[in-house]
Amino acid sequence: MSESSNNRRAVRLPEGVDLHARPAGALVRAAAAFQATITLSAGEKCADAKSILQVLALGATGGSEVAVAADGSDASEALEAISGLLTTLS
Amino acid sequence: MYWLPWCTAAWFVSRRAGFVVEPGGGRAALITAGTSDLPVADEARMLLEATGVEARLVFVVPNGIPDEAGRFAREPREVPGVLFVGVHLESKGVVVLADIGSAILSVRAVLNDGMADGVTAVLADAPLVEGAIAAAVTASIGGDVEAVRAAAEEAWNVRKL
Repeated sequence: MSESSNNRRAVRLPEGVDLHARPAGALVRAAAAFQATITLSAGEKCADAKSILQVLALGATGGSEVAVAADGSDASEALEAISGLLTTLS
Repeated sequence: MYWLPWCTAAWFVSRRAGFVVEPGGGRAALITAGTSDLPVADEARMLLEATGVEARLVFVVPNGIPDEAGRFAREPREVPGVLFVGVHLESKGVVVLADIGSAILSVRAVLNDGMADGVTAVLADAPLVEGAIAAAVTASIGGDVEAVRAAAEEAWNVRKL
């Protein structure tokens, strides 16, 4: 899948907030609202943002960088929403 | 009550101070049968609540799969040796996850007895806890029976480490 820089963004998780069950659940629910395919990357792993198991298995820890990529008709809105959510997790 | 001799499973909860479960809008029912699966179902329920899915445990008896109004068997009844966890999709159907072995046969017998009118029930081939988590979260965001079954079965392909 080719992606332009327009639909890919790197964000940093808040310090001390790992991407564990609660934030992962919130993320999956938010991602499900979009038609776009949304992919998260952390380290060498990547995950479909609509799959709770894949998001949990990312093992992304607080303060680390997560790349968000979106592809589809509402990709820019999805990118904005998911990036915003990841940076404001608590 | 009949206890199989190896049914000694137990669970405990360890939560950091100040942890609060915050419902995120999803709802799921974990359907259990028998005695040995209760800790498994409870584990799934607790993890689901952490993801924001309101989950409840439901005992089910043969022919006790919920009808389209979501009504379940009123009286818990033990079905020794049967181990399965189901995800109830409001009125859309039920996705059942079963332990390996005789549980599969028991669940098939229950499913073959037929569902209430209008209820679709399918047996997913998936690991119990991971499958139940994936299935319930997918159900909570509006997935239909096939989407929920696919989510559960994806558990085979997601590495934990």
